[in-house]
Amino acid sequence: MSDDDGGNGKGNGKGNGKRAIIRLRGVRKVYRRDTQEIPVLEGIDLDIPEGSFEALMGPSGSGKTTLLNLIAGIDGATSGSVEVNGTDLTRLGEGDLATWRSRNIGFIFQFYNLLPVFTAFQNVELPLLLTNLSKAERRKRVETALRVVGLEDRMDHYPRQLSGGQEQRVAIARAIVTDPTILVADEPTGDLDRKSAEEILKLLDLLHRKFNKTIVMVTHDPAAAQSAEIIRRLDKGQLLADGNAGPFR
Amino acid sequence: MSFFFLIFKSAFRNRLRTLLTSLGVAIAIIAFLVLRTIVAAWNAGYENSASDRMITRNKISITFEMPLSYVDKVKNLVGDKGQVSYENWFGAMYPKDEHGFFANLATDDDVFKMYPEIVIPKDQWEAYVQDRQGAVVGTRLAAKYGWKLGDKVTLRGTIYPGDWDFNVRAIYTSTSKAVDESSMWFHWKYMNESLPERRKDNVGLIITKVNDGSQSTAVGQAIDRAFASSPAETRTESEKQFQLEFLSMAGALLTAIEAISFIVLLILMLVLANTMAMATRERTTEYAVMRAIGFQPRHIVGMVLGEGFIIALVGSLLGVVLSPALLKSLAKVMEESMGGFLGNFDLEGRAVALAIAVSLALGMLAAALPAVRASKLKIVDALRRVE
Repeated sequence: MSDDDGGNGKGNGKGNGKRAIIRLRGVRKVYRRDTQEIPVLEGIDLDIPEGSFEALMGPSGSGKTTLLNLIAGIDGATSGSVEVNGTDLTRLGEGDLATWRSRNIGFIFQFYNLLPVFTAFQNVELPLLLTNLSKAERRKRVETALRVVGLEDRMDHYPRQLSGGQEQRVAIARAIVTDPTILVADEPTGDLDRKSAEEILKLLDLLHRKFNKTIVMVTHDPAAAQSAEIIRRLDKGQLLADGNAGPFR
Repeated sequence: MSFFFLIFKSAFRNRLRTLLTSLGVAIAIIAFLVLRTIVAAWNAGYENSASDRMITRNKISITFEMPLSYVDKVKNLVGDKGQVSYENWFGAMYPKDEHGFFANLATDDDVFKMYPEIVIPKDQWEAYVQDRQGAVVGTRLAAKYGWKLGDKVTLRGTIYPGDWDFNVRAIYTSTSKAVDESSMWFHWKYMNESLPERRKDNVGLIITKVNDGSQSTAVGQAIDRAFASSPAETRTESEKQFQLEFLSMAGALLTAIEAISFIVLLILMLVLANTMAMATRERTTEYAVMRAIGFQPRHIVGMVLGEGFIIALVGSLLGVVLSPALLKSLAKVMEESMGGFLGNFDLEGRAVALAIAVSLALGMLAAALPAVRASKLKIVDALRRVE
């Protein structure tokens, strides 16, 4: 990766020969509370290559979730540019951003955020309601996604009938059912016991290696971060350094 | 799964709350329909009255009478342009039910020819005509007191004191809401012959039915002109105007009832708005997740409006289903106290349609603010709220 591709040395991405699917330049994010300005991210330059699995670590309030939100297009930068999968997100309006997210991003949350009144199947089907797929095609895709996460026999179960690990796997199935290029995961193992956490991390690794998904994961857990190819650290709104490969390489 | 399923499942996710809210809507709809039915029943006589029938009364007040001789004068005036007849409000009560009320009138036989909506079987009519103390009673009145053909009925006079005996000779049905089925008519001659000399030969109302309805006003004016400056001046109005004047006595009350019926719907909207506000607040994170995975603000608005619509629909249908039973009970109570004075307590299709339409519109209106709020949530703020 050239200097042009790779940023300016302030914690920019490690080149691996692949194009940068996520490219941030001079990103600044400031929250305003009344007249007070609270800077969260300062001058972030970042390149994340296509097909990589990266972990964002840092203490609470370091800005890692904010950075993830900017990459996912659910929050906007105060200044700078955020280009993801060839689209400059800072130029998109609310509606266009929503459409873009539905096609490019899969979300995995710490608390799974499944809709409790819907079965696993229906939760996974939810993003497909925004597509023009037929009912049969939707079914096929949902079944495939649930098979990938190993829950094809739980598709008629409601979230309350599943363990935390299973709920997170349903959430992952929901994230991949539209076959997005990028998966963003915010503390995906934060609410799980060690065994379930390891299963989720193995699943993310599988999605990265077998299905070539670009994964950006925020975590507090060093063990979880080890499953990523690259670990990036944030402190006080600034990227510090790149990390190394985890145990699943 | 479809968007409709999504909305439907969301509407019933908290079944107890949805049930209670729907019940609240149902009660509001019942109250609305009952109040509208009372107003409609009150107005039924006016709305269904004939335009070709004219009522002439004493100009001073309906409680003052006119000499019987006026009838012949009116007949001369009208000539072959119509028919003329007369009757007196008798105002007696049934001693076995002192608090019960029903209209009873001393009537010239020709009155029945002018009211084709009153249907009397031929044999019963003939029996009535031949019996000086014969009486024609409505189906509902006969059913209420268990009167049958041939029964002897004694009424206690109030305007015309004394006990008055009648024989039930005919039971009529009505084909129009202008005539209820809870009245009683009997021969005017029977009353007149039984009165003391000083009260004889007076009539309360003179009824004129003109062949050409467009001539009604002219005929009415001619009648009143004929009795101008006489000891008992007259006032002639169409049956509609006559009913309207009668209704105007209760005008303020009816207006109040009408206003209350709409206030009830307003309360319905507030109940729904409260439910929708609670429901959307509870689901803030879910809406944020949906927005994150690509749902547009309009999808969220549609979902919340849809939920309001479904709850209002369930509630209003429940109300419509339950209303007839309540109206039936109310009709019984009203009939016991007011006879057929308020006409029919039948649920009108128009009122039902209005209730459902207004309820659905208010349901969506109540959901509008929570819907807009939910759609405008900042995704990151909403996700942070719970996490």
